[in-house]
Amino acid sequence: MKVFKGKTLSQVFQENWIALIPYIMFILLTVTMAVINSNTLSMRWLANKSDATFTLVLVAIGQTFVLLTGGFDLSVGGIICVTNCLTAAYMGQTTGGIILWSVISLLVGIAIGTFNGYMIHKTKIQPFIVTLATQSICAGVALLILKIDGGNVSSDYIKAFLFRIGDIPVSMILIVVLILLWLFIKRTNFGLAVYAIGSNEKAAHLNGINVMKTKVIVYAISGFFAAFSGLFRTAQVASGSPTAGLTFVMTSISAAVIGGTALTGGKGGVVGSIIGAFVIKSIADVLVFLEVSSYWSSLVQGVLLIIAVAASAFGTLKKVGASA
Amino acid sequence: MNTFIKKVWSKHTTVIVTYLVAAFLLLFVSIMKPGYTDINNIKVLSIFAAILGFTVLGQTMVILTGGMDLSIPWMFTLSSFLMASMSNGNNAALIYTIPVVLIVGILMGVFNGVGIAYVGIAPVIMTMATNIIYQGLLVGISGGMPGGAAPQFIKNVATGTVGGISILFLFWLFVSVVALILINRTPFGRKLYAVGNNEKAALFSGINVKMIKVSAYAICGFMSALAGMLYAGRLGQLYLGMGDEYQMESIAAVAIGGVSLIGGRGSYAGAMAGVFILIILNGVLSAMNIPQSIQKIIYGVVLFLAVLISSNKINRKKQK
Repeated sequence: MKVFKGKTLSQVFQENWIALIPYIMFILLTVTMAVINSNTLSMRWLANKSDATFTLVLVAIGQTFVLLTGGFDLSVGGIICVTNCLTAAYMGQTTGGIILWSVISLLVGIAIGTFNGYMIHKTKIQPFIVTLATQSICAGVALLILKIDGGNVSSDYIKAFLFRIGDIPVSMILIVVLILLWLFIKRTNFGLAVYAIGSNEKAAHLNGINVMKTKVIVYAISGFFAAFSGLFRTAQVASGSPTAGLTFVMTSISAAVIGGTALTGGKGGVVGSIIGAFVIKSIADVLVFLEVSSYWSSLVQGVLLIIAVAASAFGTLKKVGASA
Repeated sequence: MNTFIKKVWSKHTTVIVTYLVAAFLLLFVSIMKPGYTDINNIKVLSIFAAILGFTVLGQTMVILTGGMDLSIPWMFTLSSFLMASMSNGNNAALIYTIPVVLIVGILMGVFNGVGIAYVGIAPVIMTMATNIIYQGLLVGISGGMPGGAAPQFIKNVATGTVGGISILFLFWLFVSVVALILINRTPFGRKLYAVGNNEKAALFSGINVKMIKVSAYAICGFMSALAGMLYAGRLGQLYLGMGDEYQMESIAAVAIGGVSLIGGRGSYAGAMAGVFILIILNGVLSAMNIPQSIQKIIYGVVLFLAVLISSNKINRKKQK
């Protein structure tokens, strides 16, 4: 094992204990759920959980790519709103319409992401501002398409997304596929470029990495996943909402950070973010079971994000201190 | 005299241009929409300008240090409801209500500042999180149905006039003058710029960077609380989400005013012009019956263009 080169197991553990936190949290939460409610840990429960978390998982994956390059994507919320509304409002009942509007939605997501990436690199404006601007534009467009929650979603469309092979839902299969895809991408030149840019953009540029291309692709990926998440939400809720996507901005960043992705870039990965997404959903579930009023849920979300980021900042500080 | 004008012009080009744009916009609208510059309409606009202006003042302080405050909406709303429920329409209760609300505002700002300066959390993340924490606090404590009413005194301040000019607007101008002196003429102001320009250099020249940052966020919390409280007087009925627009608008106004969003560059005078431009633009959009959706799109575009223009200018200056 390469990880162990010249280091004992306890040293490796000491340096990486923060990376284990999301997994431990997830296991603890699942055990808690199992204790509170004996119905959990059945295949059916897992399947429902996978479906319920999948929208967040998708956005978090896209967000992770952007965070790894040291950027930010606040426009994911807007993109979810737009694609959610587009599909709910226009797709109709025909198969052709469903495919057409799904493809259009994904292309819209990619286009917005590409615009973000290009503008961020070309104009050198902070990612936060560019994506805040596109977020506002997207939110406006979503309101143009649907003034209030509504739309008409074909039952075939819902079936296609919530389809189950035996007990295994499509979402679970897709999560496995996406993890495998990520493990592959991580080792490609593109994957290396993403990490390199996040660690040190100038050094990456000097080493012949095409920073512009990588950044545009990264934001396009984020846009694509946000759009996909919007599509899935349409099936899940069977309607479109011009505002429902906005909460995903925070939760996607939280999921990535809980999963060990550093906001400063260059550290972390998609697998952690997926676990992070499940942790967030589990905490929400536990709160429901403990009969905590839902009015407190936003408070919990905010506190969770601060703790996760503070822990991650603390871990980084410690490492810097150790190496200095 | 000529050289004096030239000097002022070259030093404050951005600010002057921003005011000219605001004036031009107003002229354009008054020709396009007769009756827009009617005294009543101007009064309404100036009230909104004042309320946005208070939040922009706070946001400017924070942005000058290189930060960002996304938690204005719920600091604003929480303060507004806190004032309404504590006083419950009773003028006498304001004697202790106003200080308590303002202190709560400062504390919320300090919480932001401590997380950012002492714990090292990125400003965008910290304030995004605290924004929904403050939302959770308000909604959680009140069980989703906060109540109360604004006392007559607050209503008078918010909607009254002195010599035809809105009291609130005059109050904002007064606070702004104080702020301009604070930012441009005191060591504290210079430290704000120093921290935003180069944090390390500021640290090495003996500035307590963390304290400066915390105070900037504290001022922002204070201003949001003040704005929220006064807005309660303007609104008949308070509602959750009444502060939502101020997140985008405060940042957009600062950006339009030529303040660099990276920090350390720009002036509050420019941000004030940004307030006027946004308010006039808002008035135009609602006068032309343009729906909220298009307004959001226009905000996004305006924010983007404003930042694009100001960042281009900075790049050009650096090349020189």
